[in-house]
Amino acid sequence: MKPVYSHYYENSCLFHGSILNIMGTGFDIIFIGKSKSDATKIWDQISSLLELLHARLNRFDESSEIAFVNLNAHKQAIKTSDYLWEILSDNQQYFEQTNGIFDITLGNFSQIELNETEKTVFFRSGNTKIDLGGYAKGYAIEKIKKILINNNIRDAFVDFGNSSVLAMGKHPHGDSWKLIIKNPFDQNIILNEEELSNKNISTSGNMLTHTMHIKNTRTGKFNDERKMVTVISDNAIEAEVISTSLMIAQPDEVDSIIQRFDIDKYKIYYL
Amino acid sequence: MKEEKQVDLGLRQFIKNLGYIAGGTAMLGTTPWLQSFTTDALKEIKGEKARIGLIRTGSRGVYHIHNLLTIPHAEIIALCDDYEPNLKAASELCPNAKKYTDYRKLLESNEIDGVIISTPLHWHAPMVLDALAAGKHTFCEKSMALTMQECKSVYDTYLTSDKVLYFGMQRLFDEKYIKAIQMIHSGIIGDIVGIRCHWFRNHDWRRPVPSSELERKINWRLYRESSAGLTTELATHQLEVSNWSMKKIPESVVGLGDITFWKDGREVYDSVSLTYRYRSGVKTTYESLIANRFNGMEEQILGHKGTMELAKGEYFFEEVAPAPGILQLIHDIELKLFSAVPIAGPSWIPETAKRQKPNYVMNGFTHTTSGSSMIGADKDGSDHLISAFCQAVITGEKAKNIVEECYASTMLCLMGNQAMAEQRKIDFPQEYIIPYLKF
Repeated sequence: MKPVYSHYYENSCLFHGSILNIMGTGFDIIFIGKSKSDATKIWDQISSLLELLHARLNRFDESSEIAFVNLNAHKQAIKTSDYLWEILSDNQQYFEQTNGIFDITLGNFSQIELNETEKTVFFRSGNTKIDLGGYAKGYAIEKIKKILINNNIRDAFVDFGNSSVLAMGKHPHGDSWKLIIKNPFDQNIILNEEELSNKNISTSGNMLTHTMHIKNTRTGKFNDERKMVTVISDNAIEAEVISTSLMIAQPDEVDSIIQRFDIDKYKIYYL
Repeated sequence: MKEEKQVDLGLRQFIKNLGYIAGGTAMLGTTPWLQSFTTDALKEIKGEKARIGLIRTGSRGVYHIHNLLTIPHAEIIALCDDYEPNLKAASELCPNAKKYTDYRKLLESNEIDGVIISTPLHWHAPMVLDALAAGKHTFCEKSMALTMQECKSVYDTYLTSDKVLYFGMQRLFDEKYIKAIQMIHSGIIGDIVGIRCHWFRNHDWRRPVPSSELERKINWRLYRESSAGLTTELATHQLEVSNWSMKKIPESVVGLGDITFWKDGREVYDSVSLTYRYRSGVKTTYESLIANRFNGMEEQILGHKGTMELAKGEYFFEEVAPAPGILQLIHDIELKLFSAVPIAGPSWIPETAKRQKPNYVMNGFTHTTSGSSMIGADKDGSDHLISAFCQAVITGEKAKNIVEECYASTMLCLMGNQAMAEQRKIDFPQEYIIPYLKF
């Protein structure tokens, strides 16, 4: 059981739900316009989904399908569940669309064999491991978006560890949601302000306290540039894929990669 | 000598903002004493001055003088003290003020609009009653009075008087407290399940005495004829905050008090432990020792989701610390504000340490105090409170709730003293319940 906090603000009909440590970061959601009891039920759906995805997509959880695949797929082709098949085939596409940069095996995707008729996965080399760390938050946000829409919620704000944000509808006292983007190396410097409505924003980059967590899948080296990328898109997963890829892409390939995705806007900051 | 800088503009602007936003009236509804404390109200009295006389100019009186000298709408007309060294020292700060040794003579002066009473506790009630009877707007230090009967008498007189009456409950004017209590009322720490207040010092609570016949005059805090001890001198502020956060008054109190360390002939306890019980079962504990200062001074409001430390202006969540940007977003929505929040950035790693880092009530630097001063801390709301009083002296507008809050917390202190003296549970006495009190 993860530490979970929630509170309903009666005056604003605002529900706030928070999970401290999930998928390696913190999760917060606020949504507006539901009664306390309805909001609580919706939060139950969202928090259970996150618990489920946290277990499912975590390669360090020995009971997860990913862990099983990582352990056995080099020995024989493993039949996958529907959701894992969807994730793997989507990622094959992202790998190709990003010229091989976005790679859930961190450099070995070409060693993966996917059989579409059998829905099996096979690793041609034994040291291939799937890690969904750079993908899972966007994936979770897309699933949460569906829960919100099914419950007729128009205005919501989801913050997954600051790096993956969904701004649905609008702030109750504005016509969008307004975000400040700060320099992660100096929190006193404001780099930009964005107004978002029904958009996702994904941010990748290094921080003073947390560098070298993005691996260049081509060279195998960790990125240590003072650089940050923000991407705005209708789709949380695509925003995630592009923000990570642009941390590594060569300047002359950026445009061609972007064209293959549904991206509103991106910005690369050299800090 | 007067500085032309208004000291309280920050708080005035803060309160004005509360009132201007839609729904802010509801918020001001819970802090009605702040309604007229705005920059606009200040413009309305531009050029006017409250003509103030100070009754007693000991250390607290001089503290008020320093604040008054920075308030453009205040003018110190008169000083009164029957202790020559104190009167002389105060007179050097405001040489044009007329000097008195008998406060009744000061009250007879037609030039004085309002008085500030900073005397030992046993003088509060008689002087407040005399000042109101003399037609003076009146500010008196906390606590309200030495006895319950006197409290009731002050309250009843205030109800029939057309004069302004303020008491020195400065936390009501401390922006840090105002904001934190609003956050508590908005539910950020969940339901209040308990309150812990403490005030610890390591000091004998004495002032040097030039000759022994002045002992009881100068060290009035130590003797029962003039003082009710640690409760009325310190706990009164904290019990007021406890009630403010609960929006209720405790029904009963139990406690123990002793003279444990400073056995120097004093008559008031140097060790006090009290437990106040609200009707819901929520309890406020109050502890005070003056021979150990390790724990300093704090009011901790304990909620089922988090803890607010009011004196430090910090709060903690039981298990989860939401991203700071999210908290700002929620506060904005609650205040009906639309502004940009710092959220997007590289992924953060959650805090896993056992002791969470605090979340801060105020952005930027916050004045905090260890509670060690016998006179008063800088920037603790006292300057705003005195400014509000001087404004009220000019406009004649009575302050909402301040007298009632002081009445309630003083009564609770006196009940606490009774509980300790008689070693039994004391219920709030029926005959002293006033309509304002909600149990």
